[in-house]
Amino acid sequence: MLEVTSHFNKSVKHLNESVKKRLKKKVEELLNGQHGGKSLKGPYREFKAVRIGKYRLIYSDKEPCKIVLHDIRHRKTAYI
Amino acid sequence: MILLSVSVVVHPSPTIPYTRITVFRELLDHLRSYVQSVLEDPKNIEAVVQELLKDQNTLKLFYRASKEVLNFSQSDWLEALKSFYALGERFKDAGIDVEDALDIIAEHDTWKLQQIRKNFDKYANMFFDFIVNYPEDANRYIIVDMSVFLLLIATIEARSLEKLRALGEELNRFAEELELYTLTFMIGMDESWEKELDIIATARTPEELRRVLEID
Repeated sequence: MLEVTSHFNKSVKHLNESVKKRLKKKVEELLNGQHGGKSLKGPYREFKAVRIGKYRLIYSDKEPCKIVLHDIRHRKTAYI
Repeated sequence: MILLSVSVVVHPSPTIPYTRITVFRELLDHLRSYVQSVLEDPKNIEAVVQELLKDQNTLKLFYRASKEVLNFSQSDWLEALKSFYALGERFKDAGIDVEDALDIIAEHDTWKLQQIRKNFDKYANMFFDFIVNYPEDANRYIIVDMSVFLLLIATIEARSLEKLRALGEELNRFAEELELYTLTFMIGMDESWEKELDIIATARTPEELRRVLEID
């Protein structure tokens, strides 16, 4: 089962169709227990991050057979 | 910090005053023996960093160089980024792709500098809480950050493709870990994160998944 938070719902709105399709593929892989991400640090250890090109999907999988999507962030550089 | 030091070595910008460059040069002189150790055995990088962290004189220079970075303008930064990404060409010649790693490092340094300049109190509080409550993770962060820095400096000195490949492999490994720290700190600074953890939709079938991901 998949759940999404309101934060994720906001971030997904900014994605184009092609990224959304890659996201769907990655979510299906995660639901099938494949290609899992790595845990964040400190207070956010329960969250995991996995790359989708230059995007990072942040999710949690504390409960068996359930994935919660929290955020998807683009890698940014350049401006200070 | 990483970006600027590397760019000063690769391609000193004419817009950066000589006094600032001097600090970086002095730091790099102090780092020479550590860089040599990394070049001899890139896989031994963590042990080299542990030694470096005991070297008070070099750490003081790191502090001075970090303060200089705060004075860089947007155009200095863009110049630095250009020189930094030029390092990727050296790795390409060695047949190893470090594009993602360079992006991750650039993102980490750019974001951190933005926070120190624009949200210093909030960033300092978040980082202090991280150190106090998660000392093991904080210690690991310093090792990862410093390892990336030394590996990049070693890249400039590397003379063989085989050595570049070995450095590139280590760089990719540490950059992957650095990214997890960057995301952790970004979330720590994002006020909306904690407020928006409520579940607003679920999906059990492929059709529901398409709906939840808003795919047309």
